[in-house]
Amino acid sequence: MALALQSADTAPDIVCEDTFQLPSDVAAGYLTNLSGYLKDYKEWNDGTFYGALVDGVTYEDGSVYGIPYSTDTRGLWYNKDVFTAAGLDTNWQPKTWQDVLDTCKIIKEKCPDVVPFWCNSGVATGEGTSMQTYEMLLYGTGEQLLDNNKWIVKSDNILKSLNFINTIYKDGYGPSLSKVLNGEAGNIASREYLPKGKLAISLDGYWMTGNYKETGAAPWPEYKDRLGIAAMPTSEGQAPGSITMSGGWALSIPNLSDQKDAAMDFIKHCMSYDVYLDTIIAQGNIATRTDIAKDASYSSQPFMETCTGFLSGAFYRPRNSQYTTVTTHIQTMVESVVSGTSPEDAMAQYKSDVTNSVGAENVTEK
Amino acid sequence: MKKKQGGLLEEAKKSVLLMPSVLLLLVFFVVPILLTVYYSFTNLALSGENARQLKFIGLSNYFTMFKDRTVRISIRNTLVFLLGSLVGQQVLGFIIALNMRNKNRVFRGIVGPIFLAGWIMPEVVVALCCSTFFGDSGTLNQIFSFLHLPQVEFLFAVPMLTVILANVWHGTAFSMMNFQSALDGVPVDIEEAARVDGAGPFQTMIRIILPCIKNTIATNTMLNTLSTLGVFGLIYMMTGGGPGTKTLTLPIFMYRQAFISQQLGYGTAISMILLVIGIVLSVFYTRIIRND
Amino acid sequence: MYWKFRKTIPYLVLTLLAVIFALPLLWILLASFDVNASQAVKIPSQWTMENYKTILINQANQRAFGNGLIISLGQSVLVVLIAGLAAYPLSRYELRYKNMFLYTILFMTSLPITAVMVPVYKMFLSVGLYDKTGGLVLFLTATSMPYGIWLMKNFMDNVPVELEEAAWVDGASAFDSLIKIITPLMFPGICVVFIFTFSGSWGNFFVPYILLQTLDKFPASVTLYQFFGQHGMVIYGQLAAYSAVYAVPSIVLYVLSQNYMSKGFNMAGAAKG
Repeated sequence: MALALQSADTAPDIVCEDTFQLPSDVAAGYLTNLSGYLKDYKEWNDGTFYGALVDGVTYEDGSVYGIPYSTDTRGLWYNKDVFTAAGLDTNWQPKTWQDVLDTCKIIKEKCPDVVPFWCNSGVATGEGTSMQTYEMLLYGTGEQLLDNNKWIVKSDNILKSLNFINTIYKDGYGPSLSKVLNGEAGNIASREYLPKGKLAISLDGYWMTGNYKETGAAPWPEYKDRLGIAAMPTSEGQAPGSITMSGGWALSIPNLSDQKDAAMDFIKHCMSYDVYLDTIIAQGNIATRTDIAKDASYSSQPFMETCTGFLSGAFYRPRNSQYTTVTTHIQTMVESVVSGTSPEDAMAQYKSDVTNSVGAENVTEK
Repeated sequence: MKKKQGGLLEEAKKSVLLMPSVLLLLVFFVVPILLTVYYSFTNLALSGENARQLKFIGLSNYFTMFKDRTVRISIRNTLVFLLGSLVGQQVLGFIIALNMRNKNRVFRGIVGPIFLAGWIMPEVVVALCCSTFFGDSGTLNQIFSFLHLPQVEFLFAVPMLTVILANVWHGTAFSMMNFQSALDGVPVDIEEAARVDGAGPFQTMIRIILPCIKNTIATNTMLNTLSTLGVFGLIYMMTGGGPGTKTLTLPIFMYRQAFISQQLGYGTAISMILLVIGIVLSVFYTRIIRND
Repeated sequence: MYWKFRKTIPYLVLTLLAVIFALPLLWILLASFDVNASQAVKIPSQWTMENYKTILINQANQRAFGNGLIISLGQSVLVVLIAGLAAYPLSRYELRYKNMFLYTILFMTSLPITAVMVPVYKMFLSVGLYDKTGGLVLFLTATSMPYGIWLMKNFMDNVPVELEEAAWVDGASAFDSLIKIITPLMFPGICVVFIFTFSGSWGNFFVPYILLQTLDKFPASVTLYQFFGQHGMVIYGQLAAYSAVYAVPSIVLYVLSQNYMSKGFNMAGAAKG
């Protein structure tokens, strides 16, 4: 995308970007400052959009560069049939990471053919590995990626997060590496393993259930009853008890667009109540408008209430233009641990990589 | 008889036919090399603040490189890959070439094309064949289970060995052909004379054959080195440089920096390592041919 | 007895090696005729052309093969033309800078192209050649020029000058004699350069992967990678059939060119010392 935005010939009039990419592209000067267009956008100013998501599209300078188009939350999805077979309570809510590992252990003993736990773990799954696995863990320790705008490159909590991942794979709770380290890992887990009872617990986002709808890629009529969702616990169960990362996509207008007014009108059209209601349900994503969240046709979707509920305490990725680079180092670090590098070595590698990318003045240790 | 050398104007007239090549080479060959050198001194990036303005940052990328663990790892990986491939391809290529000498024509006709096939195949097909061959439920693991050996996830447990073997499978035929034509040039009568003098096969090898083909070994090594250094697709397709950094070679690290982390300037500085090695070896290679 | 045994050793070694070398390829062959193919080599329980049919009637695949053909043909034709022109003065005239030029060319043949891809990519972005098939072909042509010129010059050196001298007397230009006299005589050499270039281009993955972006413009090498880059849910039979079809031009060209190639190889070999 960054490429197309560099040239007037190729620049589209509207782009839909993952919000983590936004700060970097704003810094590069690719995107239009929308603040001027928003003065007479009623829903923008009357609190219709979730405040946290508005923050997510607001750059360091206080200006807005995108309209939140969809959001998401993550949690532990589990197959109740597998839990029944393993003699576990189908109303599962782990309190700590150790609870998760204990459950995996029981599943491995009772159902040796089932993969107990699946999370994105490789470079190939990209941002999914950074946000959905590593940051879900790290933020669950109470630490974040940045401290006072400096990247934390070495800490006990980073090590604790990597150790959790290490235990999953070392103790044989994870899938085979050839399955999990390729780009289709997320789809293999959600479309094949979980519905067929070959997988017990999957750390995944709400959109995953879109696969199981009649129109989805892997229809599963009984998914509403056979699937469970638990919040991802914090490391030792410390407050707030559970954790989710939230991201999402935003609609922006490239700086090189020659139809900015028309583009803004079109974005408003896409975000108008009726149009947006239909698209967000079809996407299987979580809405960015509070009023849509209350609409019965939307909120009655299975698991929607729980997953929207996660939003209230959700964490967001750093609004920092260096994140796009740092995230690639996170992926390498996680993949290294998964494939046998010690967490200490992987963290040392991360420290070196991040320090080189963002400069020694922008990193810190804890 | 060639036309005689004339004045400058004459010379220019004669060179007209050269112009399209020179132009093409200047624009698409020389300029990129100069740009490589130039960009390696800049902060060129695709995204983030650096994308807004290209700045000359001196040796900064190079200083970073010296401190970068990943650079050290990828240099080491590149060397391991290079050495493994060289030894594998040349030893196998030589063994095959040597054993193929004076063999039954029909036998050669059947066996020869099999070795050649891996060389003729496009890179993507090589990567695919080898990925499946070494796959979890691939042919090799089937053979292992038939022999009651444990199953191995080759691409994850021994990724470097796996990509080296894939490259050996692909490249052995090139060495084989070079050695075949070199061995054909070894005078039979000298070999025969040595045998009559009571030299065993081993001695014949050391005293007669190897000295005769030492030039071929040298050029073959050099050409293989140059092509192995540039290998990108095979490793990229089989392992993506992973898992982690286990098969991360310089070309793949360069690619990751430039296109995944979007740091073109730094990526270019890394490719400078390759370029410099390439230039040094090419100078050597040109010298050898010049002296011939 | 001992001698007999010693004589069979080479056969045993070669047979063993050949079997190992054959296995990965055998998989493609067998799997492509098997709708239930897996990763391992196995004889299909039912032989079928279904995989080939599915692959070949798919329009995206047809386009990918078409793109590959356009790129490879374009590059090969350009290399033959431009290198052929350049070879003439290098072969026929005394030029002051000739040796320097030739050694520069020779030096260029061995540089790893991989090392300059990042700047080339940036350059293409800046001048609007990025994601343009034409730009890709020009760049590929340039990368093949060094060995193209080198081979062409060597082949042309083998064509006796005397034949041309008669034509010069009749007032023919260099260009005329190049077209009418030299080209027919060095046709095998031209074929070698063409085939070398075409095979290299057809198999090239990295350069189009970097310089193109639009799915519709990708040649078969890149689409094949994308096809199997998504392991896991892959249909092995179709993947094998796709690779088999994709490998056919490389094989055919190789077989076709056996005669020319040995000539080309000796030439290159002579060049390499």
